Amino acid sequence: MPEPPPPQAAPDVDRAVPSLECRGVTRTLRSGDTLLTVLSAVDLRIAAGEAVAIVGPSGSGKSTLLGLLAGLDRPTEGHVLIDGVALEGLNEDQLARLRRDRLGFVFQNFQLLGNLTARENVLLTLELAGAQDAGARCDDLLARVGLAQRGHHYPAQLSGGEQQRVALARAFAPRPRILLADEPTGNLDRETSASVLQLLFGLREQHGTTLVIVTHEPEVAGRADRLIRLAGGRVVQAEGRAP
Amino acid sequence: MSAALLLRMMLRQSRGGRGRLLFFGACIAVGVAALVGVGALVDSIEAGLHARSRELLGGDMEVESRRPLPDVSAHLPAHRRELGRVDVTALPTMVQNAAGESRLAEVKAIDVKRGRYPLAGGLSLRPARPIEELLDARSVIVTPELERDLGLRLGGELRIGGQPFTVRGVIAQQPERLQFSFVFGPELLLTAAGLERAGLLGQGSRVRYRSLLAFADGTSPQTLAQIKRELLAALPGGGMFVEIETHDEAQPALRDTLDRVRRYLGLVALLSLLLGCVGVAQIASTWIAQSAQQTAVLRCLGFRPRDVLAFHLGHVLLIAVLGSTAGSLVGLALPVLAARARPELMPEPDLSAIAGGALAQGVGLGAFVALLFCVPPLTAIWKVSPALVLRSEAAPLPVPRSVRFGAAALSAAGVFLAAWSQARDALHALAFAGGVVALAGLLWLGATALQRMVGLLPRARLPALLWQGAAALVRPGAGTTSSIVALGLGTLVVLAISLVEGIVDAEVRSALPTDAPSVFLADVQPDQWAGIEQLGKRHRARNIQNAPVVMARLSRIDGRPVSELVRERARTGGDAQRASWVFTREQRVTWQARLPEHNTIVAGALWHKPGVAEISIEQDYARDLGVGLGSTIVFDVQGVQMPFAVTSVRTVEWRSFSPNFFLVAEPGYLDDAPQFHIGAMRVDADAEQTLQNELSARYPNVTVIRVRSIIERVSAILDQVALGVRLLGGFAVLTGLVILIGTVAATQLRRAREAALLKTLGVTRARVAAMFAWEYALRGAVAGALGSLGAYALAHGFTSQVLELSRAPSLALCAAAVLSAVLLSMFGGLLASLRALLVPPLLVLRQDA
Repeated sequence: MPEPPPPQAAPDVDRAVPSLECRGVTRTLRSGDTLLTVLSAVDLRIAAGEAVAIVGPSGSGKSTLLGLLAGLDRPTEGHVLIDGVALEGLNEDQLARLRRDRLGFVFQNFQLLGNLTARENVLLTLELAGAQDAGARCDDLLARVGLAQRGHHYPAQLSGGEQQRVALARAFAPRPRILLADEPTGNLDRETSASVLQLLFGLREQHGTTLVIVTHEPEVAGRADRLIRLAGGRVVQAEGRAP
Repeated sequence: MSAALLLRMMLRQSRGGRGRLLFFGACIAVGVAALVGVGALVDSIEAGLHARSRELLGGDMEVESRRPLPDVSAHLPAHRRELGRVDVTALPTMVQNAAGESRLAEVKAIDVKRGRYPLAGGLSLRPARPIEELLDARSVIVTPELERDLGLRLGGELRIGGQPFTVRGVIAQQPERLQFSFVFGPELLLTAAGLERAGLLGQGSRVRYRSLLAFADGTSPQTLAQIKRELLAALPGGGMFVEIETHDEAQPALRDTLDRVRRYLGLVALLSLLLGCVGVAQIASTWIAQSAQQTAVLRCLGFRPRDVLAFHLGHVLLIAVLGSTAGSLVGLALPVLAARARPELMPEPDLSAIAGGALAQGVGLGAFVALLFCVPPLTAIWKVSPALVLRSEAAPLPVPRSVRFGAAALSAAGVFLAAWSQARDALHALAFAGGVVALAGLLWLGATALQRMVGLLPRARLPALLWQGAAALVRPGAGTTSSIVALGLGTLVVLAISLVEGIVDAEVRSALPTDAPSVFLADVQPDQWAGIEQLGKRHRARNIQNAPVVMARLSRIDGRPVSELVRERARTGGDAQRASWVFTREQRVTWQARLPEHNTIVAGALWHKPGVAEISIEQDYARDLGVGLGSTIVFDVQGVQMPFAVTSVRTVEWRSFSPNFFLVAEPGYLDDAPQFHIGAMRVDADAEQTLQNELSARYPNVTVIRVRSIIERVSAILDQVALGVRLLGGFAVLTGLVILIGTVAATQLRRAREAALLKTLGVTRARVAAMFAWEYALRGAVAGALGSLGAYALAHGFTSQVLELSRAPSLALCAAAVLSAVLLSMFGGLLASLRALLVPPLLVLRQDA
């Protein structure tokens, strides 16, 4: 298992402006003839550099909330703000640019692009951001996640844990201000989960990234600064220090 | 997104889906092969015409007339003297071998004034001796066709005009191979003295007089055009009665025909490409649907929808260029194959001269149309919600209206532009594009409706294999409709062409009405007619007709000289020589007390003005001359001016095949003019040859024209044309098949899973194959039925409304088309499903797990 990276100086952030904010967010979805309220009047604020775990039973709206926070979805009511910028005023192109510049993602089922090698998957976000030293940064990250020798392999040739490590490298490559992780260890065994989490939190500390992690695993939630518990689409409990 | 990243993403996309790449490429390649094939074939013929134009004409310039030519050399400007001149006198006449067998042949008498014959190109003779050594006043050189038809041999006898000539040579290879002018029979060469000895230049002989001129090597087309202008001005009558062609403008009719062939066959070929692009669009649609998850991830990472569209389009462009290049190379092989198959029609093509243009056209048009057809399905990228990465049930996003309508408009404009590039006529292109869209739309509606009807069939009452096949047909996502439309459209094209050709061919072959003359006789002298009539009756000829004919020229119309009318007509634009032909051509005038059958007076009355020389004129001809009732026409009959008043206008049923005339004069005015007769009679097919032989022996100056053999020749030409068009239509069928195979292959995984489950449940491989076969058979049956219906309607509409033929299209051919579509569909589908059938069930089920 690779050693966690040494901490680096965190980028300057305006800690007065929350990194992520929800104001009265409601999301309803149509299922056949029925309207389902997946989230109802959710208010929350996540400070810059904070690590927040969103927990709750299956169907409580965790992933939906994550999607709204990432601008992948639009609320039926309410507002979502990223670094103070309201998302409802942005079109799809502007949202894409926002995600490119400020967000990183880690998914439960890795979501690597099958036609690209591990290295190319990591390189992609750097190329999109127009990074000058894309190659060097990519190789450095692959080394940090312990896959320096596997860069030329395709996702189908990697194990689940290896794929998730590639996903981590891809997520952190453009040095996002905010990282959103949806059940990052959901498809991994215990041992692999532990190492992936180690990497995730290590990289997060190194870059000072705001982390929002959706999970139903207590040991994952326990590593966050704060816990937000959802039930029936509502925030029922918030634990840990508030922003 | 930078250009470098775009290129990298395009190339990375190519790594997945080799099957997709293959069928993408194949769909485009077939259509491009057809397009390039047509273009390359026409280019090759045109290049041959251009490169060998001097050889084909027989010199740099040709001066031609129906009356004896003046000394052309004397009328050339002093500084433009020719280096070579050959005068050629040509006319059709009967020739006979020693056994008395006769044949209609084209006699060409050559008189070399300066230089050698031919003035350009070579003449390969058997024996290989100079023509001057073989030809004299008593000898001839024949073509291989005449040698074969009459069983001639070197040194043997051939009688022309009743005079014996010795066959001294055979033309092994002649330069005018590409000349497609319609001559009545094979050619033979003799000298001017020989022609005089044969005594063929009598009254009424249809002689063409030509002077072929050769100038200094390298004389430019511009200089030749200048010489032509100067010569026309210097010739008597301002060159009104001659036609002059330079080598670069020769064969205008052939060039026009080639241009039409390129445009209209090009449209048929374009249909294959458009069909192929339907397949490409379908594959693109499936591709986008299958890669929705990937698209969602890219959207997550910050790619905008148009970025994703850009590298998908780039990927399509890459495959389109590769497919188009492959298709172009196949298409370029077409002129080579045509030259090998029909060397007598086509020279070996110089591919280096035409390849560049053909490749550019093929790749350009193929890539352009493929891209356009892919844009609408690729707009589905806008529908993919990035939330799909989190939630598989994420609702699709709306496609911006500008994207939706823009894509549709772009595709429609693209079809029109592609058609315009082929037809070079906006109206025709619009008609083609509109027609294709309408046909495809109708087929789509028909396919959808039929599928729904199949879905409503009471399955419980059907045999198991049939209802399983029907169920597979209507399954969502099976891509059935587009493959049915493609195969249906291909069937429609091929069948429509076949049906029209069948009707036209049947009409041509049966064109001869039961009692219409089957033999025409030209150049009959007045004192010969009685004997000819008796000869005809001895050969059981029926409906024997004859008419006197006086050759005349128009001198004045309504007091205005013809030269003035010619100048006026030339000013209206177009080809001045062609426009003046109606005034300057030889007029054949007859006289009759009563009009023959099939003539109907539509204005005026026949011979009702005593003391006035009256003439009756055919309606269309009157319009061409610009005359009507009351007009005065003055004819020049052998130097005598003879005025006639137009007192009736009539229509003529030309399809009666009876002898008919544009101009019929009142009896009593032309009776004493130099004249000949034309005759016609109905002869049984088995008596025609013996009658011809006897006529040629007793009346060697009389030309015998057998209508049946002309009809056979015309029919044979139509057969060849139709074959060529059908072959092109076959490309459309092939494209439909490729799309079908592509559709089946795209659902390979599902079929493999189905087959695995069925085999696990105990169904044998043969039965699984039978189930698939029924599905493909139904697909082919629907496609074939729709295509046949459309073809029948199209063929019937075209032949009845445009060609005005009453014959109905062949139902047997339609049934055969449906059967063919079924068999093709089964063959293609089973071929594509082979892998699914052969993979062991456990392998598939494990993969699923």
